[in-house]
Amino acid sequence: MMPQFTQIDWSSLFNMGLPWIVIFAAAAIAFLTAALVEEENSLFTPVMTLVAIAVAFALSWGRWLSPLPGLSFGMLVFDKLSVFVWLMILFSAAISVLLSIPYLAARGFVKPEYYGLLLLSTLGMACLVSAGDLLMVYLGIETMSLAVYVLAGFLRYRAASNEAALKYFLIGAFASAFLLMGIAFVFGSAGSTNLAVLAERSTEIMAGEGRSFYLFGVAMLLIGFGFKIAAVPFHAWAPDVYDGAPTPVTVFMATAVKAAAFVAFLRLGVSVFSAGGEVWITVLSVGAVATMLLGNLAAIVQENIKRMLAYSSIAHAGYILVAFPSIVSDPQGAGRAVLFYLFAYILMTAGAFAVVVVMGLGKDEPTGISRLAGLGKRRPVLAATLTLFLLSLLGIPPTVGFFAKYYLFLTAVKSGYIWLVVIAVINSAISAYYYLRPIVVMYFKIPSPLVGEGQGEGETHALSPFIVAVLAITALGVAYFGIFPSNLLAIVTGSF
Amino acid sequence: MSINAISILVLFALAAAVALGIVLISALLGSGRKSTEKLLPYECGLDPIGSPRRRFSVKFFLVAILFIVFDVEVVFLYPWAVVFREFKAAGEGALAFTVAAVFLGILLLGLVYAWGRGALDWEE
Amino acid sequence: MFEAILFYSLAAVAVISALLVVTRVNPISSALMLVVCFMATAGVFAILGAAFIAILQILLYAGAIMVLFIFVIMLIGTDPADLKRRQMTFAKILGAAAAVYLAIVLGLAAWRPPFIAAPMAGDAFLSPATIGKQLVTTYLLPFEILSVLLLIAIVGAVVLAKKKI
Repeated sequence: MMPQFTQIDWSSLFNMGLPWIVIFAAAAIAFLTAALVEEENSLFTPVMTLVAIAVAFALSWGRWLSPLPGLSFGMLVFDKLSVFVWLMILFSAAISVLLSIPYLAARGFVKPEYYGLLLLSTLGMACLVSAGDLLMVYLGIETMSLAVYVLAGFLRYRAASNEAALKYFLIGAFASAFLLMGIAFVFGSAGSTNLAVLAERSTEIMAGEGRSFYLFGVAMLLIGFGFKIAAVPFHAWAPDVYDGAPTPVTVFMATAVKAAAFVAFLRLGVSVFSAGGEVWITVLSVGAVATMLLGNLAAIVQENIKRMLAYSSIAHAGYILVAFPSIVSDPQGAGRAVLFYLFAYILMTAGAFAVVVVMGLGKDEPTGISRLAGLGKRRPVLAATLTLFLLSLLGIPPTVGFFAKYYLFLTAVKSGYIWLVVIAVINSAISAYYYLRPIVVMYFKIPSPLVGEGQGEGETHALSPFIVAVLAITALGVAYFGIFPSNLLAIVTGSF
Repeated sequence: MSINAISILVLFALAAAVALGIVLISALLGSGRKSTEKLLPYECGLDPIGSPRRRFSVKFFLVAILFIVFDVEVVFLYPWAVVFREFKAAGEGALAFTVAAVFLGILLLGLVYAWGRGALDWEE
Repeated sequence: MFEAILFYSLAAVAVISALLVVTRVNPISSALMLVVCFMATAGVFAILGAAFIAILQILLYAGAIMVLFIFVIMLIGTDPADLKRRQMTFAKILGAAAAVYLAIVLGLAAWRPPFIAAPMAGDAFLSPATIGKQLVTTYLLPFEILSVLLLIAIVGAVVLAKKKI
């Protein structure tokens, strides 16, 4: 075989990869600043990071708007879906950077590496969501996760942060082993790791001799993804890691990491679930029910708002899984519903965590729900925005959370999974208890100074403009798409 | 089995034979008498000081992990180096060089970072 | 025939040394047993005709990664007083039972070998030259992104393990 470079269309690859190159260049500048500049300006790296994200966002948006068809390079597929999710990821990365600036400054731990790692992690997510091959899926997950492990343990002087990093790393390595094993079995039985080839051949493989090994391989892949999206029974790491990691990193994990993993899972599902659907339908619906139930029931008993949001994030993963069985019969509808939900979920979760950042600006991180007592009087606007996010997470109209759930459940009903939707609706009702509780505490509970209720340390100084920006953007998004959901629906329909 | 594989297996067998042989021969020929001197750990002829079980500094760990990363880099460059001439003969030498240069360049950034941050200095 | 004998003896060494890794009390003995296990696995790769992978197994795993393991063990400290005999607990029995179950299920699944027999492509198969060609053509994009992964590893190690950053 003669070496062949010419089969790659270099100019279009460069065109497609330009946003990635911008992101990488910014990360490189951040690392060089850390290494070579003695007394760096603490605002230089985050602002440079934001500019790079904005440039990459603009370039990718142009790509999304252009009517050109998607391009496939075998390993990487640049279609509307991958570009749209990449835009969502950049958005959550920007939010995370904005929250990090005051968060790290308050702790006197401003390091340029932090932003570099964040950027490289988004690069890994880009590979993950554009992956056209299981090998690329694996590499993307590793690149994304490795950077996030380090970020979770970035506050090295805090034991909780170290614990979060170690737990996340060990569980993540375990999950990677499952993924790799699954890829090996799929390759052994199908002879290829390319998702397009798998989609073409899976009916044939399922009918042939390699059936049991193929099923085993895909099941291993499911387990690997189960860990990454924190679905029950692979969820146990999530509360500790979300709680222990620096809050801006928690935002990043809960939004960008989750969205990227879900979209890669979706792509995998569209390729392999169509053959032998009935097996996967059972597995996915049991997983969805268990994830919703456990997430919601455990969230009720949490006293710490960060942990409560972590369990709520597990519950939301369960809601998203409700749409997954529909992939078998209606891949397009399921894909659109999942994208809509992820978009809404990013907005409301980022906003809710931004309020947690405000509460935890002190040295220790007082994130108990009781700390919210009297917030409605002291900070009416902040309390109102948190109320908006919680109501949206609960799914009360007219917030975007309601329509996200609506489209998700509608897809499942259309494909005939009415029992699944009934359970999901009951779960939503359960979740009202823990989403409404902080609101009740904020507005109706009088803070008792004896037990240190109320007056989170950060509340004494004015809100940082960066946090105000995050709160404004997310609150506007939640409200706007709640009132005009058809606009978001149009965007999502154009992407899948 | 390919000739490459056989040669590696022969190497394994020889290595195992030498290692086992030395142990066996010394067990057979030695007198078996034990003394304090003989049971001491050998440290270049000096009497050992202190317990060998004291904790290592984390600095060793950092050096080891950086070593592994660059070791992996070399592993990936080796197959590339083997076929580079073929690419050159096919008139694609510049491209083949560029892809490896990008790979190396990205890792060079890591080296510059580690160096600049002082990860390679033993004394702090 | 010769190959089969070689394979089963190397496989036996690998399995026994792997068992010893998890049953030794002293972590240094476990680490050294792991080296034996890696060596035996390298031998299995060599029998399969993957000479390059066999060398990598020794170079990377038995060489570099084991050095790191031993550094970590030294870092944590191996005071004999700290080394406790392993206790049988309910969780361990349950775990062992699950492992046996998985092994039985896998064995049953593999009863009828369902794999399409892998083509033995002789010397060219998995030789460094073939890997090199594939690496810079078909797998070019993963190859480049891998360097980003390694870059993260460098930065992460410095950020987390250096005394002062």
